[in-house]
Amino acid sequence: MEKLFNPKAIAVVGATPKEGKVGNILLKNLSEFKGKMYAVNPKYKEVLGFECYPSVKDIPEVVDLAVIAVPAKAVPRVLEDCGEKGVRAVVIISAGFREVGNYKLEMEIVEVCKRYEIEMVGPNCLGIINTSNGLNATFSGVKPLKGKIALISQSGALIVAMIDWATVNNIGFSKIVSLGNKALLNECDFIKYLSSDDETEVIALYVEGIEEGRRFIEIAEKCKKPIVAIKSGKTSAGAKAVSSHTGSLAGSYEACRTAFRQSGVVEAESVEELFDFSTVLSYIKGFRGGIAIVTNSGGPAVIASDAVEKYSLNFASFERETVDILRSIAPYGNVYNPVDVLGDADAERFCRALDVVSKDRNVGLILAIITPTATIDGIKVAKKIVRINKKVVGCFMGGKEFEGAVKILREKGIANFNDPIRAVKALSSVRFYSRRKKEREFVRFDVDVKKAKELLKKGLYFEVVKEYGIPVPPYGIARSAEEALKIANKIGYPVAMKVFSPKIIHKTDVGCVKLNITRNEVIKNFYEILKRAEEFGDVEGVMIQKMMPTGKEVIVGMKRDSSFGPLIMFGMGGIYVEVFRDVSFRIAPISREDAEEMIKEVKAYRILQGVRGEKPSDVNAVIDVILRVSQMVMDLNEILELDINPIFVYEKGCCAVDVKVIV
Amino acid sequence: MISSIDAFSGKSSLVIALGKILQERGYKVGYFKPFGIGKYIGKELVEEDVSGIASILKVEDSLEKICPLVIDIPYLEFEMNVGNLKKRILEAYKKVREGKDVVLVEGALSYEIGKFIGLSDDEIARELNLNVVMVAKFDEFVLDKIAMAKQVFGDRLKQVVLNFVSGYMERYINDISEKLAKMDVELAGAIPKDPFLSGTFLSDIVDVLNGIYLVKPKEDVIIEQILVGALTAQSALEHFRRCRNCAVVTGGDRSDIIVTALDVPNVKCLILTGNLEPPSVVLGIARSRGIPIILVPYDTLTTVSLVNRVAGKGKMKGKKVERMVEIVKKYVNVDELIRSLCV
Repeated sequence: MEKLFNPKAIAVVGATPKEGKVGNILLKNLSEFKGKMYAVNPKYKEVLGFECYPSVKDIPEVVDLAVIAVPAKAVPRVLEDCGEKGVRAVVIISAGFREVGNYKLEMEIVEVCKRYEIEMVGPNCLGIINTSNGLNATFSGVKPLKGKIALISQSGALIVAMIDWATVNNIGFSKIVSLGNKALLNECDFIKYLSSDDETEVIALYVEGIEEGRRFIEIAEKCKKPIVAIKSGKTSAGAKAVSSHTGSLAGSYEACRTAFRQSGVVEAESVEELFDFSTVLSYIKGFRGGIAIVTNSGGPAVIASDAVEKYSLNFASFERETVDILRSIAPYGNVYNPVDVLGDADAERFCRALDVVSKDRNVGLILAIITPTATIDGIKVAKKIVRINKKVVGCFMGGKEFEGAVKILREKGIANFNDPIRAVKALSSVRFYSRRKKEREFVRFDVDVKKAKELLKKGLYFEVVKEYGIPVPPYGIARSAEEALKIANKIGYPVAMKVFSPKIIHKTDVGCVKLNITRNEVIKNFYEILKRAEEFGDVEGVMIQKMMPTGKEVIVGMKRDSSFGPLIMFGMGGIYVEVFRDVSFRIAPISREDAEEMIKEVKAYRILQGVRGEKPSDVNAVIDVILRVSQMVMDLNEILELDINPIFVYEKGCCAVDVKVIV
Repeated sequence: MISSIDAFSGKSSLVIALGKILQERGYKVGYFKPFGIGKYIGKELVEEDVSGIASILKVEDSLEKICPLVIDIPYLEFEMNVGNLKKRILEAYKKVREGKDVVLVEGALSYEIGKFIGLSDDEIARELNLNVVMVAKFDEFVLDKIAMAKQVFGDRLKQVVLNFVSGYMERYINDISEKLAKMDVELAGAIPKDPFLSGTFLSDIVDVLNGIYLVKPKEDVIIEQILVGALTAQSALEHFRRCRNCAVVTGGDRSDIIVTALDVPNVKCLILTGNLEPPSVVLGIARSRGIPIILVPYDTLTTVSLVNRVAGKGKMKGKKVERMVEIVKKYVNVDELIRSLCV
C-alpha cells in the first residue's frame, strides 16, 4: 500500500500528447507529484516533457507505481511487464472488464497480479489521490484541497462531484480512492491502511455492495479512525440499480446496517451527511459532559434544543458560577442552556459568554449558533472560537455575511453548519462513534457439534435445537394412527398435532395444525391432517407435541447473508409481527450484551417487562436462546435460514414451540 | 411385457433400467413396442419414447420393426377404420426377437388402450405369449386397480412394481405386499418418488418456450422446480434457497433478482421474460458461473404455463438413465423380476 500512496517513481502507461485523452489528463494531473515520472507508450519518445518508453520494462530506473490507461485487452500484457520490472502497485483506469460482462479478462488480470504480488486498484476506476505528496493519479477535472478526510468510493463520478463541492465548502482530503470494479483491493484493504495513516483523521466511504462482509466487520472494529459510510441499494429499486450498475449484489440492507452498527461505522443517509459527520469526526472523536448551546438568537436555539432531544443527546447543566457570570453578561437573556445572549449582542458579549461556558466543567462541547444581526461581527466571534480550549461546532447561519467567519473556522478544521439540526445530527454521530464497543466477550455452550451436524443432515431440526440446549416441548413423529396415540399417551394430554412435510411451509394456513387435542380426538385429527396435506404431497407423518401453556410470544430467527454471514433477528411473536416489523438484528457471533440490547431495542420489550401489574417474563431465558442460536448458526454453516416461532416465554423459562430450517 | 395401470407411471423408465441392467449382465437385449401414438418431430412421424429408448439401449433394429404401428391420425378415427393388424405386429416381433436373449415389450399408454381393436396389452401378451410386470403409480386406489388388472391378465400378471411412493405412505408397503400375495401377485419393488427423475430437461423447456440462450448451458441440466422471481430480491432469496434444481422466471430488467438467483447453487437456470435483455455485466456473471440464461418473448404467466406443459413428462435421457438404473437396483428385486419375465 505504501507503494501505492507514497511512490518514489510513477509510470503512466498509455500516456499520450492527445488532448482530452485519459492518458493525457493523467500526466497533467500528476505534474505536481514530488517524485520521478515516466511516460510509457511505444508511439512516442516524449510526452508533455516526460521521457516516454515503449514499455515499463524499458524504463532504466526503479518504478513503484504504474497507472494504466490502455485498452482493456492490452492490460494483461502491461501487467506482465510491470511484474517482470518489479512494479508492486498499479492503478488500472482502463474499463472493459466485468462491468461489460468480461469476467474472463478481469480474472486474468487478477491472476497476473497475484502471481507477481502486485497490489491493484480498479480496474474501471477514476484513480487515487494523495494530497500530501501531489499524487493525483486520476483523470478528474477538479483538484481537491488538502485535509484530514480520506474518501473511498465505489463510484468515480461521485468522487469528482464531491471534490468540487468540498472545495467550495473549504473541505479538504488526505487520500482519495476510487474502487472501480474492486477486482483485487477493496474497501477493507484501504480502511486497514488508512487506519494508521497519519494524515487521515476520518474515513468517508461510499459503497454499493460489500463483498467481504465478515472481513469488513473485523477491520472496521479494529480501525483507529472513525468511518462514516453511505450504503446505497437499500431499497428494492436501489438494489435493482446496483445490480445493473456493477453486477454486484446490493445484499440485505438490514445485514449491512447491522454490520455498520456493530462495528462502530457511522451510517450517513446522504452525501451531505457524509461530509457533515466526517468534518465533525475529523476533530471531535468524543466528548465528556453535555452540550452547551450559545446563541444570539432564540428561534434557532429552540430548533437546536428539539434536535438535541430527538437525537438523544444531553444538555450540560451549568455550574452555579457559570450561571452567575452569564447573568452579569446578559441580565435579560437566558442564562441556562441554551444560553441566549440576545439579538442585540455584539461580538464581545458573545465571546465573553463563550469563554465562561467553555470553562464550565460540565460542558463537553459547545454549539455556537449565530445569526447575522447588525450588532455582531462574525469574524471576531470566529477568531474567538478557534482559540477556545474546548471542542466547538459552528452554526453561523446565513450566507454572504458570514463568508469570512466561516473561512476562519474551516481553515482551522472546525465544522460549520447553516442549519442547527444538521449540526446536532452531526454531533449525534460523534456520540455514536464514541460509544462503540471495543471488546466483546463471547460465551460458548457445551454442545456436541458432530452430533448436531448428523441430526441436521437427517432433517431432525427440533433435535438440533434441543441439542443446543434450547428448550422444546416433548414430541414424536407418527406415521400411523396407532403410533400417534402411543406418542400422545406417553407425553400426556392435551397435545398439538402438526403435519410433518418439507413441502408445506404454512402449515396453519392449510389446516394442518391442530391444537389442544384430547385423547379421544387423536385418531380423528391424525387422519384429518393426512387428508388435508395429501394434495401437497411428500407427507412424512404427523408431529405430536405436548401442548405448552401460552406465554408471551417471541421470535428468534436467522438469515444467512452471503457477505456478512448469519444475521440474527429478534422480535415479538404473534400474527401481527409482519405488520409492525418491531424487530432487532445482530450479526453472529453475538455477546451477552448484544443479546440484551437486541431485546431492549424492540418496542414490545415493555410487554416482556409486564404491563399493568403483570409479572415480568424471564428475559434471561430469551437472552440464553439468542446466544445459543448464535452459536448454533456459527457452528452449522449448512443452516441458511432459521425461524424459531413462536417461543413461549414464562415467568420462569421459555419453550421453542415451532422450528423452521432451510439448509 | 411391461405394462402399466395409468399413463405416465414410469413404464419407459423401468424398461430402460431393466434393459441396461440386463445388458450389464451380458444379455443381448431387444426392445419392442407393439403400437404407439405418433408425433411429428421436424419432418418425421415418430413415437418419441420409442426412438429415445431405442437409442439409449442401443438396439440395432430399425424403428419400423421396434414399433410396427405408429398411429398418425386421431386415435378414435384410427380405431373406427382399422383392419386386422395383429399379423403385422407378430411379424415385426418375430424379427426383433431374432438373435436376442431378451426382448422387453412395452405396453401401450395404459393397459386398456387398444382393447377395442384387439391390441390392448393383455391381448398382445397372449398373442406373443408374454409374462407381464405391471407398473403402478402409487395412490389410495392402487389395490383396486391392480385387482382389476389381475382379472384382465390372469396368470400372466406375476409381478407389480409400485412407483412414486412417498413419505409416510411407505409404511403401507408391507401390508400391500401381503394383500397382493393373496391375489397371487408379487410385489417386486416400491420405487420412491424422485424429483430428479420427474424433472424436465432444460432443452425441452427451451423448446416449448421458443427461447433463445443468452448464456449457453455447459450441459443439458434437469429442472425440478419453476420459481417466479418477483417482490424484493431479499424475499425471493428465501424461496430460492428452499428450492431444488430450479429455474427462476423473472423479468430481464430485474437485475437484482437475477444477480441474487445466480448466487444460489440450487438455481440451475434463469428464464427472462418479455424479451428484456439484462445488462452485459449481469450476463457476464452468469457466464462466469456457467448458469444458462434463456430469453423468452412471453410474459411470466404464459411462460410458466408453457413450462408446466412439459413439466413432469420429462424424457428419460442423460443422467436420468444412470439414476434410474441405480434406483431400480436399490428398490426392485431385479433377479425375481427377470426370472418371472423370462419364461
